Amino acid sequence: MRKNKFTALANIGCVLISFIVLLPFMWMLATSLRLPVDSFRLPPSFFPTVFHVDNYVQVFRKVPLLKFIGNSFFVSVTATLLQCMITCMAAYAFARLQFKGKNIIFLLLLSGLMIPVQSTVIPIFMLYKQIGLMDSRLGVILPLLINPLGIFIMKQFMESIPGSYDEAAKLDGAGHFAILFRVILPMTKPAIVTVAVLSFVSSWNDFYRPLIFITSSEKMTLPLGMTALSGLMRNTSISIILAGIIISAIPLILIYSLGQKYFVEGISLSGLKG
Amino acid sequence: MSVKKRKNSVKKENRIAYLFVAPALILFILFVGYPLIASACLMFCDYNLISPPKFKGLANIIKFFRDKEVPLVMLSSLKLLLVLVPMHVIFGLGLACLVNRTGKKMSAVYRVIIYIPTIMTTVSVATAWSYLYDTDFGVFNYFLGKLGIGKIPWLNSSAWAFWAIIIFSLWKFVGTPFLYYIIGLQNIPASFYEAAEIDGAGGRQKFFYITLPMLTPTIFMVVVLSLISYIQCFDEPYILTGGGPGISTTTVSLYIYRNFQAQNISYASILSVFLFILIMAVTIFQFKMSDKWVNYDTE
Repeated sequence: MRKNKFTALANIGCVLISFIVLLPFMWMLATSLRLPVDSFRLPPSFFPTVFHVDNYVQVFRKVPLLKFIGNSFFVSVTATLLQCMITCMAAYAFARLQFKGKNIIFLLLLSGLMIPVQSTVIPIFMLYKQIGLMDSRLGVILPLLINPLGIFIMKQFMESIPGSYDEAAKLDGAGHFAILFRVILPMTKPAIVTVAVLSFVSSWNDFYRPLIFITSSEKMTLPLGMTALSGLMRNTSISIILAGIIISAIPLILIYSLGQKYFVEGISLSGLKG
Repeated sequence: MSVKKRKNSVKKENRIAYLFVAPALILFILFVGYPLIASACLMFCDYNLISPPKFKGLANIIKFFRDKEVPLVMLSSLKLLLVLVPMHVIFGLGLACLVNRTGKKMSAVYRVIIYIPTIMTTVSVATAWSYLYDTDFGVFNYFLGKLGIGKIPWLNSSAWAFWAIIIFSLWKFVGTPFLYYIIGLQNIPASFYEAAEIDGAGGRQKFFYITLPMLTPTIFMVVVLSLISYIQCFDEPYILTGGGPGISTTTVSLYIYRNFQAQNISYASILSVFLFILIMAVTIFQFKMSDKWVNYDTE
């Protein structure tokens, strides 16, 4: 009886907290549908009362939003796919193979976690100027391909898979490539999805490096485009800015809702628990 | 297997292993290792993006120690850390414990909702929040006004700008520690609690003698990871306050960017190397201290 009462209380608390967490989004949605002249008007609304969809059309007129979306997709999808490949291959070597310098290389890669973007961005900038990668999407993608936390998660996860599977595959004459892609990877689905979602989200949200590497609006990704949009519209209509923000968040929400089922399992089984 | 054959297979495994590690290692060297060393070299030079770097000796380092803004910038970064890291550790844990009590079905729903702000583009949602914080038209002041509290200059006074960043960051990022705690809680065997109940332990005792000690590895990880990410705090002050008013909310990262913008490249380099040393020192200190309070004995 006491336990039920506690569950009910916890539920009430959580509903309240969820409401607070969602409130800014509700305000963003409701305000993005207001008439631009009303966008600053009080009282604020949290549920749409008017549906001025034209704001969403205006975003595309004010800035090349389709270009931004296209650039963001190109950068994020390419970075995620390549990063997953690179991460899985490295993790397999660390989890399954014996080689000289294994621990040192692993620690070296992991130390990347401690190295701030700011400490690396200037020499990369100079390098790009020399080899002509400034203001290019490839230049934004390349630094995104290193994911120390991803390598760690994948390695831990692979180590939890019994070695007998590899042995069986080896007896059938499979090489290491075949073992990785045919045997190990299908069994690490939660970890791969976790790493992929995390890397998609961080690529999509990458701001500091594009801010320095990208100069033309043609090549801008969404976060840069959004600051351009808000600089343009700051004092005229926040409705249009908010409409832009909501459009740019849709892919993130889609990817997250597709992957969230595996999320907890992926992180949990990889031993990030400690 | 003969000795020779085994040696061959070891060599072959070596080769394949290097092949597998090579892409990650090469990218690491090109985009992390080399730039870090180059940054360290640049700080002894004078460089303005146009003419090639000129050796300048210790000039930049002397400038660094004489720069009156460096202690101020460090102080604002430190203040953010001192408030944000404990807040994440405590609020994340509180939320996770609460959600954990709501039953299996509902807790999955809450988990998704609380993590949503974390995946959002910081720059975008911060832009939206800068309107929520507006002194005259903002939602915060509207409701505070209803409660009879006067208008708060959220983004225009150095004292409030700090708290504006704190409140936003908590909303935006508490999802990460929350998720780690949820996982940590799930990994505590139910039998521990059952045994404690038989011995007549109450809710508070169970929390302090089972939950908390069992969670210390998770807490440790949350502390280390949130320290590393908040030392680099850039997006939030860049959008919300622009580092102002004055330089009151300018973090080390923002200060580096400002110098970069002003073409003080070599000076930005010494600041960035300093930031790296700071992060490394803090992280190593964390690991050294960890065996004093982190409990890895889960059996």
